[in-house]
Amino acid sequence: MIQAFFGKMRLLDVRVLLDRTLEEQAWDQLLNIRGDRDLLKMMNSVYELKLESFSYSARTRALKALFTDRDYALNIDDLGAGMRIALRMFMAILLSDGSAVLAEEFDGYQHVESFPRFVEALFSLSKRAGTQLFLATHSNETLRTFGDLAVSPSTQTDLRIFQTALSKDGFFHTAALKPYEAQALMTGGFDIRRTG
Amino acid sequence: MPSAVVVEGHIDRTVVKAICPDLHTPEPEEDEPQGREAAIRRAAIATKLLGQDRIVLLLDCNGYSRDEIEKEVLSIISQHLNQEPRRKGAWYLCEQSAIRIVLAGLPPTMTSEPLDAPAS
Repeated sequence: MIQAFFGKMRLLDVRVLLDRTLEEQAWDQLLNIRGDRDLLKMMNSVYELKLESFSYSARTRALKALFTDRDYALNIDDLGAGMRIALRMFMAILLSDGSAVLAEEFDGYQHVESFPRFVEALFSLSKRAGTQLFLATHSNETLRTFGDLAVSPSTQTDLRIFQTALSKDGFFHTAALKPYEAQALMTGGFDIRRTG
Repeated sequence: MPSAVVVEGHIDRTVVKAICPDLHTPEPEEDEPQGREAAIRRAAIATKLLGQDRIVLLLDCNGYSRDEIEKEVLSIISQHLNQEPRRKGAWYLCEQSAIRIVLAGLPPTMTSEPLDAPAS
């Protein structure tokens, strides 16, 4: 059981999140569980797109997005960086099959208006897939958005915010905060990213 | 020097910063609840943060005695930490952190009678 959990765990650092070969490696697997439907639904709702479907090109080995309101297809890599990162995060969650997804600086390139919808989509997909998310960030906006949505009745999620620091003697220290605690500190003027 | 000085509201913070600009005095947002209870709650939670190892909680006496205020502070801290802090001198120890209560304003003996009462 432990082996299955760790075997399916996925690590997405910034390099992987912007790597187009991820689709090449995972698209067949995703189609086998019809994860393309979820991808379509999530991308349309988060970014208010009019995506009709995705298609994989055998010749260019690229995933293409097909829109209802355009007469041509776009390579996924032609979409904004924020959208590509979101797509790859969603794919990783859909394929994690009850394991965990670890993502580093996943919140880069996201627009301030679509970001809360992106977080809601992460909550909803990970709950449905039974996946635990471990997300690293340096952004106060991310902390606030996750905190707000985690305590909101419609998107309630079991969230912990871990502040971390590596001391000079090599010890890794961490402190766990519940969403309401992080919120109280942030609105009270504390910068919870600082540890000194 | 303390890691942070937690105050009740914006006016208190302005006064502290005017006297000692170098003190780290977190500035609550405009719509953040102010007052004693909110400040105690912030200080209690801040003890969980890495590096917040010495927190001064600056409170207005507001007619209460030191004993009454200390009792309230201990009660709120204990609720947040699920344990009662240990006392060491003027500091209350909460795991790796410590809180010190500093009282300002008029104590109850000064506020129990009207200020303009005639001297007997």
